[in-house]
Amino acid sequence: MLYDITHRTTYGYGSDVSVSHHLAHLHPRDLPAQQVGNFRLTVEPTPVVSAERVDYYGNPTNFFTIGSPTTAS
Amino acid sequence: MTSATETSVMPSSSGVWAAYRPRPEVFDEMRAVDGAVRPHWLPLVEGLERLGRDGIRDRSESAFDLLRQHGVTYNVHADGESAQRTWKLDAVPLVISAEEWGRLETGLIQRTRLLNLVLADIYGPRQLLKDGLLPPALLHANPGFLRCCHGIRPPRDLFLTLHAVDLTRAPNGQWWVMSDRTQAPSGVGYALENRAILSRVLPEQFRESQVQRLGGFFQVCKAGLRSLAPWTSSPNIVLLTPGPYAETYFEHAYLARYLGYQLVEGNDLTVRDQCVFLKTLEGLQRVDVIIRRVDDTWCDPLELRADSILGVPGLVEAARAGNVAISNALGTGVVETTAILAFLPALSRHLLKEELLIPNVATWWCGQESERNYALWALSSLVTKRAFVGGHGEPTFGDKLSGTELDELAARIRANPHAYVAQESVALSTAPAWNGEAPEPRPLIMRCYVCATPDGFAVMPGALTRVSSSADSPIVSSRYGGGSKDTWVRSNAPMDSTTAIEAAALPARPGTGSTHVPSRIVENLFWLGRYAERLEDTTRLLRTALSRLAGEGGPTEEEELVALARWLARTSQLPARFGRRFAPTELASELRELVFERNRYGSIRELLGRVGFLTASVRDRLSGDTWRILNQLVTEFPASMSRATPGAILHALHRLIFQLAAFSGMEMENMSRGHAWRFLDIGRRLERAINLIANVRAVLASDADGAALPPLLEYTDSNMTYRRRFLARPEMPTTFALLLTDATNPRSLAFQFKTLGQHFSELPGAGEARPEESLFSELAAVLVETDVVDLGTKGTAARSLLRTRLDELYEKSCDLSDLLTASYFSHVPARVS
Repeated sequence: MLYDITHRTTYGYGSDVSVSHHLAHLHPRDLPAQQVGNFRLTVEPTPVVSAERVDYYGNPTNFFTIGSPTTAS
Repeated sequence: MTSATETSVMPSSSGVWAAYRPRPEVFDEMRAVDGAVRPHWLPLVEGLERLGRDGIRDRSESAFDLLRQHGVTYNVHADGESAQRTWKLDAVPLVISAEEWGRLETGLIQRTRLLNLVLADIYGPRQLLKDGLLPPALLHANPGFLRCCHGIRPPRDLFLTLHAVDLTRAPNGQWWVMSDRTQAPSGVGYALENRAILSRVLPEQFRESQVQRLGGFFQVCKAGLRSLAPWTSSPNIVLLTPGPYAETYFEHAYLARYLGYQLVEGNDLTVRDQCVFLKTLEGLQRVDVIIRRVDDTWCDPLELRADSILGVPGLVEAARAGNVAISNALGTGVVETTAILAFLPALSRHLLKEELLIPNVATWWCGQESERNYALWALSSLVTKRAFVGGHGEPTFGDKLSGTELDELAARIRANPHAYVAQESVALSTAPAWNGEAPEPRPLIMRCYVCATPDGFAVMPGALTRVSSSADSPIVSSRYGGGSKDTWVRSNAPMDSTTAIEAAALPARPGTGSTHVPSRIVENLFWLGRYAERLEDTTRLLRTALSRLAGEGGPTEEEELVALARWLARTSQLPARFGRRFAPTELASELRELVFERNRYGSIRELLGRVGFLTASVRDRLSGDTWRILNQLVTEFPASMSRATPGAILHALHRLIFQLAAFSGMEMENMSRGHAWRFLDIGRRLERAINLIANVRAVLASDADGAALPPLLEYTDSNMTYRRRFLARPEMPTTFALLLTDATNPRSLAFQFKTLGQHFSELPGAGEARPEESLFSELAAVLVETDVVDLGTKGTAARSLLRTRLDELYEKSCDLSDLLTASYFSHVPARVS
């Protein structure tokens, strides 16, 4: 069986948010009975930091930060 | 380590020590079984004998006074109500000989090395699990095991930079380890303060005993912390506290001051680009090392407990990226469980190829079958503890339980065996403690500290010794009213006599200068300024209304009251129906609610609560007198006056106005002109400006016949000025001119803007075209264009023009507050200083 899954998460806030950190557990993992052909995570607005890693249990996770990058003055 | 043979002198049969009789079945630190004084205690024992009972009583009282003066406290939450208790320090220190201390030092350092290796394995290769030296359940059932920290290697592979070990001495003279504190060990600060006080109170005895100093330990400790940030030559080190409500907040503030580090709360820090920054007025300041006094599960709401407001979102990611060192590393709480004691002897043989030099108190973790069976069989003679609740699990003494209680405990253990640990019941050693009349033997636990240095570990030559609250209580804890003791480790080499006393923390606090004031402090002061002003504003308005209800408003009070109600309905302080017709009793009950109803937004009661909260949060920035005034104002205001007449309520409001005037006077006269004061005053001026605009706008919109003008002048305290200047019944153009454009009137809008302009020019980053500066220039320009004299001559057109101007002023003033918050408190956009 071949699946094509699109998942969308939208956040709304009551007021302006200056900086926010997120941890997404969305990337399915490869298992004996499951192969991930293609995975793409799109974040809008474009994150200033984005890092993919594997958690303690072996699941791929994505860390990203949205908002104000630091600029030295 | 027995010392039973080191006896020499018998104390005299009269005098201070005559009645000191330790129980023969326990080890006494001072007196051997044959009654002789152990030699290393002699200088102290003889010194106290010379002082006599009255002398010791005096010294004990001076110690108590010093503790009070220094404000040494311990916040107790055990009884549900939070209470600040003065720290208890016994006048008689514990004395340890140099030889014995040398052996303890070696054993303690071995233990710290061992736990570091265990942690490096748990959060790394997990070989100990694979080899069967640690049962998997000990980790996986342990909430201290933080899965998200797996794979993070702290700088220098140092998980523990400060490790505390609780020791007790068995009847045979052998020291045993009862437990370890591995994540945020408390007590070094109290130990230091104990020493500072006792070396002043007993200077002769301290000198004669040749006591090793503590100062050197903190020097190497600081060097050790610096070595955690090899990426910079001058690391910025901060101490992270949960805040003033934390049990040991005193210690956090004290240590930060002593070590010269900034004391910060989670809100002061922010993570940007996987680095940690301190939010200061000057901008963001990179943080390299965090000494955390926040338990690790609370440190990052993103990856750990999501409900924590004490932590810093993204901190784990910053640590993972290797951009910040945390002391102790996140996840170190995993080895704080008593259960691990059962495995340490084997781990020591495996990892260090050494036997444990200081043995553990015999420990059985019920997560293992044969250990559980033994514990259940011997339950009545053992001490049972919860395995995974850190230092907060209260021990249960099997010999104090009834048959049914034992059965219930056994059932709980069987139901959830992993959660329980049984330990041998140890007869704690005793040492003399001053009970007010004489020294008496009391059980003790000695907490020792090991810190990382640039090239190894060092033991603090001293300890925080705690004694139980009475001679026969087995529980030794500050939480349950026990006391503490200074611990004197004797030296074989003569001590330098020039430093006869131990130096205490410097009175200076970090951040009092103009540079790098944490944003949280100034933000709280800004809001204190705003809410104190809002409180005064509301009080003045309500007083204006109540005086007319109480019949103190003169012949025109009725029409003025109607005009005032219409105006307040316009600003939404009163419900809309008061803009039409109402009965005086209806207004009276509405006003009473606006004074006393704590759940009503903007009521006097509600505002008092906000002022009280903000006062507490900036307490160490306010002078003692200023704090007392604010505290009095909040606590003394009557809680409710359900049957009070408007006159009686009026009286309470008058009083409140006086107290608020005392606060602003104190602030103007006594606060040094740093950024802290500047933001307090900016808050006050901005709030006054916003309220004034809102009220003038409402009067302009609602008042047709000028009846609202006398109350408006009264509320702004400008009555006198108006009458003296115009000698006539108030007219709208002249009244508005006095309140808006007359810069000589300290209640006018022009005056607030003039003061704000001065403040803005002094702020960090002034002149760099920051958005709040340009907005402020626009505001000032709008006010200059506002011509109120036209009102009299040009009628409706001028009225509507003024309304537009006031709307614009109002919007821009509110925006100004938001921009200040963004620039100086939340740092959007970020500037790195």
